[in-house]
Amino acid sequence: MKRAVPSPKISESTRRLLGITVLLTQLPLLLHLPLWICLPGTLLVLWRIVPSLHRTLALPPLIMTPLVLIGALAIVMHYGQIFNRDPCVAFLFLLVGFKYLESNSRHDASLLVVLSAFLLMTQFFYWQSIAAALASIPAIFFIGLSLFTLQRANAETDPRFMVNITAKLLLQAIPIAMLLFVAVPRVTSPGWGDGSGGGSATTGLSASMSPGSISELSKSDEVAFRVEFQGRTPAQHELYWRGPVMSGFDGHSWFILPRAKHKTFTQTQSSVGVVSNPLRYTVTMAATHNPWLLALDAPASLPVRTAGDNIRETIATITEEKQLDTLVKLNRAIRYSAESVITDRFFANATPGAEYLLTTEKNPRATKLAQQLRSEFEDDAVLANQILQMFNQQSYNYTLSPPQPKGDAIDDFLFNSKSGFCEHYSGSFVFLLRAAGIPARVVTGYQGGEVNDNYMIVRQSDAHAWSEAYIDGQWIRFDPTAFVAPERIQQGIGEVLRNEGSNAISQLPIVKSLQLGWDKINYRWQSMVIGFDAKSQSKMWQKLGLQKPGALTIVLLILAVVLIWVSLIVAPWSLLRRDRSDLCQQQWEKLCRSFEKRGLKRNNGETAEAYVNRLTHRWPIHKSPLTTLLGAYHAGHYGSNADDTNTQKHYAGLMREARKQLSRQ
Amino acid sequence: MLSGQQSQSHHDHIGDVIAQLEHLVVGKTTQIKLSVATLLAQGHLLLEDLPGVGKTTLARALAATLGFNWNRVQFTSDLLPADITGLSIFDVSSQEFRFHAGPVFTSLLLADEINRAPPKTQSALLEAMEESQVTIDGNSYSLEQPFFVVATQNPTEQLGVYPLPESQLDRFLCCIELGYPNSDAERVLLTGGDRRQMVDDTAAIATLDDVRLWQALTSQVTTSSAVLDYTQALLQTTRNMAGQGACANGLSPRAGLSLLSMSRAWAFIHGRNLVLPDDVQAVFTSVAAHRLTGSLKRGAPVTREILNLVDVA
Repeated sequence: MKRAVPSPKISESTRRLLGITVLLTQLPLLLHLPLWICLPGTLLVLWRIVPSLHRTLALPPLIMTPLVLIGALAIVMHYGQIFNRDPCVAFLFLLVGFKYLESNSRHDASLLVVLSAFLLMTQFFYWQSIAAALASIPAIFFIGLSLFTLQRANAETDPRFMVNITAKLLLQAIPIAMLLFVAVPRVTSPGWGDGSGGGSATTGLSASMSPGSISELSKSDEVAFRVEFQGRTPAQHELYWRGPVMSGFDGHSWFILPRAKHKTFTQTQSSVGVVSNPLRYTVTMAATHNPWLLALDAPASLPVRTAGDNIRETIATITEEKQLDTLVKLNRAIRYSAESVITDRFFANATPGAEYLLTTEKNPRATKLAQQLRSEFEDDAVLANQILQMFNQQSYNYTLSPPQPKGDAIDDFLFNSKSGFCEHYSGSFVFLLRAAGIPARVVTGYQGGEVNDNYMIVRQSDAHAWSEAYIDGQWIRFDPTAFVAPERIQQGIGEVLRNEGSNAISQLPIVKSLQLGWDKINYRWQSMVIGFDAKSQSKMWQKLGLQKPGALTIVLLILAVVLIWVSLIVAPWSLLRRDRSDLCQQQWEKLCRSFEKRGLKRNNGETAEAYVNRLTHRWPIHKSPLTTLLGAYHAGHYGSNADDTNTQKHYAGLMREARKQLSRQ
Repeated sequence: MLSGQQSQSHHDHIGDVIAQLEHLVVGKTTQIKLSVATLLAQGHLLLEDLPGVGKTTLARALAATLGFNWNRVQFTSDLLPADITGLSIFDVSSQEFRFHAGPVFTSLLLADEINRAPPKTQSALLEAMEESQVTIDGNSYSLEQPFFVVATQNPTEQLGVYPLPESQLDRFLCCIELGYPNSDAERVLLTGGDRRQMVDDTAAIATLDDVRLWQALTSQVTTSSAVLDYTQALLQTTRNMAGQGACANGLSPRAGLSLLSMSRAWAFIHGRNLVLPDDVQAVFTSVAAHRLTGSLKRGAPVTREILNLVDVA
């Protein structure tokens, strides 16, 4: 095979610039990759940047190749596979480091820049917030600067000039990038968003509840979802966001019973009673990967995905337990509207089965207490109230950090520690009711929310668990937490946390208002940028009067807008900068630029004659055309008829000829 | 306008003049050219230097080569205006005042150590330089053209000097210093014959009429709008620098005119009928430095900085 001409070597300063570029692209990923990959990946680059190190410790390919293989092997061992999102990103992360280490030629460097750009994109697999977008800006700038530097081929150009040009190019590109974002057909459901690759443990409600799981969640300030109400905003204590309903119990944890046992309905049952004047609202939720949606208790209609006015798609079914099971995968942000009736009870469609009475042999003291209560109180409602009174009047504590249960969790909570979070109270309550022969279940979800402007933020810290009991043919909500810590329900979790003393800073008014302001921006980002999907796009086309434009139409449209942008903004701007220069001056500037690329820049204040003298001294071969060019420039630019267009054309022509002759030499 | 051939002959003629001056004043080509350019630009020359470096020789060589009459006035602290301009004396025999012309009535006046004289005397000379006439007892006496003053000035740090105010420094188109000769030139000076004798033996190779014609031709040299742009940028920069405190004051529009006429003269003695930025740069320090700071020594670094700062158009 014929070997290509070896690519020119890159200079030390270019290498340093590339190193900074690679480090900046690696930076956002440091948050998402395990430490043992981050450390070598970045150290490989840092090593080469520090000049005194790499000269003494150059790595020959013979060592490099096994190292790369070891890295690949370690990644496979860590993730258990290689052909998946996370291991591939991790491997790319390492490879970029290795590639930087061995990049000496311009060809390598160009490849490295492309790899960096790709690596930078991978961070959006994990993270699509504003912060992610902002974090990529420095890297994008340096990628541009690196490409520009490589294209300039080590020319001794003023770095400030390069930075200016790069910044200007990027700024000019912004409108075009925005246009492409809006106009290029969206992929409906990007495969990479699928979290099946594992590793992405999003905080949020889970399919089971054990003591401590919700109190752990309550420490997170992350936004669970946002709601806009059409019409009135319900009061704090009415905001029970119904999530997964847990009827199964194994003595320690509560969990969702397998769905096969349940009937699901695609039509809302009128079990809520007469659905008159339901509360309408729209929920915007980040990807949860969970198979359920949240709705205000009790849901009155099936949730529909909203993207514009015309597109409505039912995305969930409703179970007998009034849990919303999704029909689509929640692997990306979703926006849906739903209707609810604010009520704490609804009629059951059928008599609950034995599974709602199931307890275990564990927790004997609690079972005994329930039996004792049963013998005392005939009426189910009175019995339930009795338990709530017990929570209220005995020395039960509501705390975010309950002690670790010893032995049987419910016994330990009820009789020893007497302090717990909502999951302890609701779990024990349901257990006691079941032991007393009343069908009951745990409902998890969120309680409360924070009004911000015209919408409401529900955070993970609002996560809550309560109970439902089947009494007199109705499922009635009981919230034992309300009897222990009424302020939790009345004023929200913030009040409780303040009493707990933790998180005091986040309760300061200024921090609070900053938080809310930031959330507003984030909300816009979620709904307008992340939420901009194929459906929003087709709505946009409709607004523009185009019904489903074809690929050709879109391409033509993009070209037209780009053309307008360039011809109206970019080109006039560059014309503006050379308004006073005539034809000969343009020719002269072209000559200066071409020699600047060859490494000899005209200095500020250096006259044409002095510059040409310098050029002929450096390249004696060019003497004759340069002298001709200088003469023509002098006559055309400084001569007696320099303001005359024809004179200028004449001498500019001579200068062009001379430049052609130069380029031939 | 002259045809190309005619103008070529003038350029050759000036080249001969400069060559002869170089023979008489060894190793000072730039200063000689600047002196001739000042003459062609119809300005006056200020030499700022120590005694004994050849100021007088330069003035005398110029006079001898161009066929000028010349006078020399040594300025002292008791010199009176009449000692320069002349005075009217009552003639007893004719019973009337008769005007006795002073040394200023000549073509080339060498005013030695001009800053040793009191300001009144200085201003008498400066009036003559600016107006090309002398007024005594209500009568005006015109000076013959060309009238060229070569004044020397001692460094202002010395004792017993009356520094020229900025307004009067402005009257001098050009300020140069001769400086010590380099070693080759000094060897020629030390081994060669008596300079004074050599100058006395020199024959004039041009006439007053030649000089007048050259002066007229110099004023016709083209300054394109690009050169005007560049000149304006230089002027503006001096004003900005003055605002920042780098120099005492910026250049006046008159200084701008001086810069342009000096540039034209520079282009002319280099055989060109158009001014290049190179010409402006070549004369900028000698035109601007003494106006910016009152002294060539202090002004030269500032003018160099300005030339590096302003890009040519």
